[in-house]
This record gives sequence, C-alpha cells and structure tokens, in this order.
Amino acid sequence: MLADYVPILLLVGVALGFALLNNALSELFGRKRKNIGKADAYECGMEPRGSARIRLSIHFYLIAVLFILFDVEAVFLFLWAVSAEALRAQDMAMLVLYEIGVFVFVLVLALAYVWRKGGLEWDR
Amino acid sequence: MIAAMIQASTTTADIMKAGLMEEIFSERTLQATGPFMALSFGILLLVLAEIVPGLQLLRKLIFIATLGVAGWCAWKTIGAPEAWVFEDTYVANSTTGWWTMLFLAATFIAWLFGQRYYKAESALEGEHDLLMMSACAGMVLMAGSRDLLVFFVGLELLSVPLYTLSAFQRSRRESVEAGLKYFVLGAFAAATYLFGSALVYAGTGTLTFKAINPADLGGPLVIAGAALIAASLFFKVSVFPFHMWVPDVYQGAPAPVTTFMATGTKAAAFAFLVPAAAALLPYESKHLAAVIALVTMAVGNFGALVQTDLKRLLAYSGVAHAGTLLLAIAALQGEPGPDAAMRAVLFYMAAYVFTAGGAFGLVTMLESQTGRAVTIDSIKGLAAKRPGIAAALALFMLSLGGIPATGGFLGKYLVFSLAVRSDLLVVALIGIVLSVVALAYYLRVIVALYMQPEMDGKPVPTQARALSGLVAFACAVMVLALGLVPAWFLDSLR
Repeated sequence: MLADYVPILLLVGVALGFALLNNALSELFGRKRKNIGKADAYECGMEPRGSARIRLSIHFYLIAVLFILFDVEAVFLFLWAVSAEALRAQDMAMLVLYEIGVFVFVLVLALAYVWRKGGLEWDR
Repeated sequence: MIAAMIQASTTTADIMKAGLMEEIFSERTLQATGPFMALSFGILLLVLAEIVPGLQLLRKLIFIATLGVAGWCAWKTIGAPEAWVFEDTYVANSTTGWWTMLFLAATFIAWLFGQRYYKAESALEGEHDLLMMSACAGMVLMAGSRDLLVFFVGLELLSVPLYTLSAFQRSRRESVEAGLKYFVLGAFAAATYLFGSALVYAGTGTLTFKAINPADLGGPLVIAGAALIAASLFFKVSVFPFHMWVPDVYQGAPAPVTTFMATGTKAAAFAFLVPAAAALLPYESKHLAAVIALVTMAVGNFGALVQTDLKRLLAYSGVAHAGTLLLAIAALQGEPGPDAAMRAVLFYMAAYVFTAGGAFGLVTMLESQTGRAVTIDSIKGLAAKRPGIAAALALFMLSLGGIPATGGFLGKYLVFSLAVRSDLLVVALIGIVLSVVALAYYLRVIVALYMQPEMDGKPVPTQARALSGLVAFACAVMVLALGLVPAWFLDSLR
C-alpha cells in the first residue's frame, strides 16, 4: 500500500532537487545587480505598493471566468482518461469514445460561442 | 496509486458492465429521458444559431420546434408503463409526463409574453432564449429525479440561468438588485441542500429514494438532513419563513422572467417535494408541515392586502398558494398517501401555471406598453378601453381566489379535501378562512378594472397587441377548461 506512493515521493524529490539546484547555481554564478523592482515583493501583474483600491478592467473578470470554466471541464477529461482503459477492456470502447466525443463537442461549441461573441478579444 | 485507481475503476466497470450499453441505448431509457434530451439538443442548436452567421434568423423557429419535440416526447410517456432508469435515480411515468408538459407550457407562455418586451437588450435575446430553455431542461430533470444528487443537477440547471435572467436588464437598477438578491440567497439555499443531502447520506448510506431503508428514517442525522433539504426547497417555492426574497425579486426581475419564475420554478420544486417528502419525512412531521402551511398562507394573504404594485401583489399571492400546496404535502403523510397528494398538487399547479402565467403575462404586456410599473392605480378603467384584456385579467384573479368554475377552485378543493381525509380538518377550515381573506385583494383588482375611472396621468394603453392577447386568451381557455371539464385530465392521472 505505502509502496504505491514511492513514485510520488520520487517526483517530490526530483522537483525539490531541481529547484534547489537551479537556485544554487544562479546564486553561485549569476551576476547580482540590485534595483528597486527586484527588491520588491513579487506580485503577478500588479503593483505591490500603493493603494489597493484601484480599478481593474472588467476584461480580467471575463478571462478569469472563461479560464475557470474550461479548467474545471478539463478535470473531467482526467477522470475519463483514467477509467477509459478499464472500460475499453470491458468492450465498451465505442461507448466511452462517443461519450467523451459529445462532451468535447459541447466544449468546442462553447469555445466557438465565446470566440464569436468577441469574448477572447482584449482590445474592445 | 494509479494502479490502485485503475483497479478500483475496473471493479466499478464490472458492476456497470451488466448491460450498461444495453441500458443506455434501450428504448425504455430513450423514452424516459426523451424530453430532457430534446431540450438539451435544442440548447445546443440555439448556441449554434448564435455562432453560425445567418442562422440567428431561425432562432425562434428552433425554440418553438424544440418545445414541440420535447412535448411530443413527454406525451409518449403519458399512459406508458412506469420506467425507472439509471439505477432507480430517474423515473418516467404519466405524472412526470404531465409535469413536463406543464413546464413546457410555462416556458412557452413566458417566452411568448416576452416577445417585444426587451428594448435595450433586444440584441441579447438569443442568450435570453438559451437561458430560458436551460432552465426548462432543469425543471424536467427535477420532476423526474428520485435521487438527491440527480435533483441537485436539475436544480442548478434551473437556478443558474434564472439568476442571470433576473439581472437581464443590466441598465435597470431594480433588475440587477433582483439578480443579486436571488443569486446570494439561492447560493445559500443550494449549500443548505447539499449539507442536508450529506447528512441524509450519512444516516442512510444512500441518496436514492428507492434504496433508503425506512428503518433508518427516524435517526437524528436523517431528520436534520431532511429539515435542511426542506428548508432549501421551501426557499425555491417561497414558503414561510423563506419567502422574503419573493416580492423584491418578482418586482425587480424583467416581467417575462417573473412569469417564468412564478409558474415554472414553483411547479418544478413541488414536483420533487411530493416524492421527497414521501421518502424522507417521518409521519410525525405532518402537523409541523400543516402549521407551516397555515402560517405561509396567512403571511402571503395578509402581505398581499396592502400591496399596490401588481407584481408584488401577485408575488404575495404566490406565497399564499405555496402554503396551500404545502397542505397537500402535509396530508400526504396520512391516509390518502403520496399518489393522491401528487395528483392534487399536479392539478393545482396546472391551474396555477395557466392562471398566474396569464396574469403575470398581462402585467408584462401592460408594463412594456406603458414603460412603467403596473399598479392598482394604473389599471383603473382598463375595462372601458380594453374589455378583452380586462376580462381575462379578472378571470385570472377569480381563479387565483378560488371561485368555482375556474381551475383554481378545483385545485383548492382537491387540496383541502385531501387535508380533511388526512385528519387535518381544523387546519383545512383555517385554510379556507384564509382563502376568503385572499378574495379581498383579488376583488380589489377587479374593482379597479371595472368600477373605477381612469386615473389622471396614468392612461391605460389603448393599442392592442395581437400575440399577447392571443396567449392570454389561450390561458383563459385552459383555466376554464380545467375548472369546467377536468375529468379528462384527472382520469389520465390514475
């Protein structure tokens, strides 16, 4: 039972080692030129200082909602992929193929709708 | 670990293999899920109509055709032998067939009255129709489900489009307010429902009604779970004390959406409440449910007495009607049994869909013609200028009040006689007294229509609108048909 988790442990080890190694290498060999930007707290796509009460473009919201939708739906593909092999062994290959085909078709239709309505355009 | 997951899914596959292909593609399954499939297919077509250039012209045709095909599929299930599919989580029989017909009718009525209603949002009417059809598909799923989880899928399929539809008129503050209120409270109700389902699962080990062992029902977990589920469903059907949102949301939402919410949502939630109560509620809950029903009737009727806005008045009247229907749920625990209660609720709701649908629809029409909220003052003197519209509105008020010869009367009669047979005589008597109170405000509308002169500064619209008039006429015919010759409908339910 516990032996099943060895690959995960290995993956954690490799990931940790990779990160530590690269940081150590750049610490050893990299040139260090400091400026204000680098000393700031890291914040993705935002100014880390100043008032937090700034107005954000509604575009961010739209993109975030679309991302969540397709992100969550991608999760279903994993469940399908995991059980597809077993279902194929039960002579239900075509059934699972149809089912995921319908699912992906609905997703593509939704994507086409968003595209057509200009939901993916940033400058509007 | 992945090996373990494949192992686990293999064992599920073994169980499922026993004729899964055969079950999914069997005639029985297709018949049972036909209306839902037709609606789902129609939704995809409506999306496609928005994508492919030029296809938008076909939108209304697609909408009507989808409702028609779904109606035909539902018609096939009426009178057909009962079909349980998907491991007893979904059922199709005569009752669910009639419920489906009712949802389709509610959708169609609201949709027809909504034509030419939207002005600033007319470019988005494709989305409006799409959301309406999704909500209708959700209702169909709700009525057929005999499993807490399947019902939840239907509930969300209904609710999420309705949140959006309530806020559809983005430029009107009231509409956005209605959408936000409905969304926040609805999300809370959904969470309550899920928590209740989890407790029921903890107490019984299943979510499917058929699989519940009656011996498990008395346990504290199941009682708490059933109470939470009841609370969230009471929210949807606007039963006291979960009715506070109703007047605000009904008033603020676009009138076609209000029409849809008042008729369809209520019908769908009651379609599930009856089997859910039969499966989950212990016998002792009968008197509690009866008391809640009476309080709801009182709150709705006394609340409506002081309203001047017609949408708010009808909203409070809807609360009172939900109370009356809850009386049938309470009576179900007694001698008549769930089947009789289902028949009474279905008939009551059928009458209510056409009555309230017609009444809200006419409010929709007047609102879009004058561009103002419809109040008691603004309909004064309508009978002189528009006798047909006034007569239809008066008929709907009489039916809501339960005057004989209308469908509303027979619905009330069925529910109260059910209560009497279930040893709830006192409750039924108080309920009848409260119904008499209700007549006061229904008659106030009729008095305004016929006996009071037109108000200065609030002229009634004189232009006729053929489509709305026609739909109102059809609703009126149905109300009278259900009141005068109900036998064909009642017989098909046996």
